[in-house]
Amino acid sequence: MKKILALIMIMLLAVGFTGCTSKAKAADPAVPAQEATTNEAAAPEAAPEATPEATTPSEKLVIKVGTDDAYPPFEYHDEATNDLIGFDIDFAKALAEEMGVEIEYVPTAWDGIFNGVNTGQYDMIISCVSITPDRIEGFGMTNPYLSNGIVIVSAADGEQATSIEQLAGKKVGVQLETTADIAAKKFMADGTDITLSQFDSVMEAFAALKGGSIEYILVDSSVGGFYISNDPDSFNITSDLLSNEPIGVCIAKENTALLDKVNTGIKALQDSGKMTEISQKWFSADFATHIDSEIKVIE
Amino acid sequence: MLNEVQIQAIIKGTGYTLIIAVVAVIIGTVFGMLVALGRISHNKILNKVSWIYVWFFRGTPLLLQLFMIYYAMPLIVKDLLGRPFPINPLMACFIAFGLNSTAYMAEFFRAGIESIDKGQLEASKALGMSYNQAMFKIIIPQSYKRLLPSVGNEFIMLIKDTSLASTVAISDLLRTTKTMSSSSGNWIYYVYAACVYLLMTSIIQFGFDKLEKKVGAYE
Repeated sequence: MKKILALIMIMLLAVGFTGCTSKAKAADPAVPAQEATTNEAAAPEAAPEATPEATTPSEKLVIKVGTDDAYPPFEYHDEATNDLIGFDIDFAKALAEEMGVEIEYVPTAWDGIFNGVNTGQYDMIISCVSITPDRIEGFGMTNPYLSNGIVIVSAADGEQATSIEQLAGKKVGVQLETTADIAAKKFMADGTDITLSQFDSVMEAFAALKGGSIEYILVDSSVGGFYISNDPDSFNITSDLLSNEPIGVCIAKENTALLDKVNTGIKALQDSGKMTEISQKWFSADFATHIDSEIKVIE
Repeated sequence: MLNEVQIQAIIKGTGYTLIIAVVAVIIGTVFGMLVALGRISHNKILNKVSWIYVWFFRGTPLLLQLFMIYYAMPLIVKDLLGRPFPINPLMACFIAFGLNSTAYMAEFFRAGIESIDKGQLEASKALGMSYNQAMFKIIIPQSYKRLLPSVGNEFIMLIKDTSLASTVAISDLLRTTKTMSSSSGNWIYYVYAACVYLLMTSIIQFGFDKLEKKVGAYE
């Protein structure tokens, strides 16, 4: 009995000590971030038109950005240094400079990412989010900052599919819950017999395409372009744009103040040529200005 | 509540979960017994090979094994042989979960066999039985009662581990409910998933309890 009591006391003490030290360590760095975030986390819930305010004039407001960090070339980790890089990352940096804020990334899996902006886990999503009528209805979508559409990617050593009809009876891969996923399901509902494989991440889909376990991928045009430029012997983009769904920033519906600020920022970046610069860097072409904003989605 | 499309999706997801777990248990039981016998065998080669097998498949994560079989193996075969080797994701799951389960089951079986009193083997030999006859007719049947809790445990763990199948594009139960939850923002779908998993594992637990009573009736 005494032994058991002693053992329990020791365990409680141990837990107590570790609990204290980790809290003490976590408290300090969290304080400045906490102040900024509690302010703007309260703002969208408190009043729809309240603008997030900086707590002190010298302290920069921290905006939290949700992103699926396994989506080259938009946001991914450099193989060598593990830094977060990509078109979206450069865009976010430029936008932050323009708006005078600091960005904190919240890496989130894609198939849950829209929840976070509604619950306040982050203030906006910059993660190659296509503008679609559904999303315009449910969220605050900004003006587009990049042209985009879905294309078919074929394996270099297989049949090259140029249209949806040629996908009939084939194994097609998509990333789960993307517009490509929705488009594929629409094709299936319309009668094209596709064997669909839904992957958690687009990188896995390309790995499966390379290995031959699937025959085609439906994906955003820029992403397809990136994989091909990295591995030109393995993949080809073999169709025209099947849809027109430019990319925008996704913000909670009530946060109209932030939406306006971001739109202003995007316009300023486009006018100053910064967007063209970033687009040339990643795509060797300017897809970031003169964007066709007539949305044609497949759903 | 759930509409019909959702119920069908959940049933389909549960189907995948069940079939992967069942196939894995069957493979694990059959091959696990063989590997276990290899582990206790006096044949040096058999012993070493079995040891390496168990060492590798217990020592690496199941998820890694699944990735290697579904993503890496086709690429390796393509490089080595030049022809593509596509693998069906469900088949990849059967293989990966089966191989993994074999390794764990082998250790359970070995423990069960070694826990049988050595006198049993000696008595069998005294009666003129060969090693194989003694093993399969006397020792292994006696070890069933000791194995059942471990095998039941492994089966229950497999039911839950099948959620890893979502990484190779299989819409199992957990992924189906997760997708429903994230597209609607409603957490109730997780509760449904928990209920279905609990239902499956409870049935297994109940079944194994009954089996244990039946097999251990003479002890």
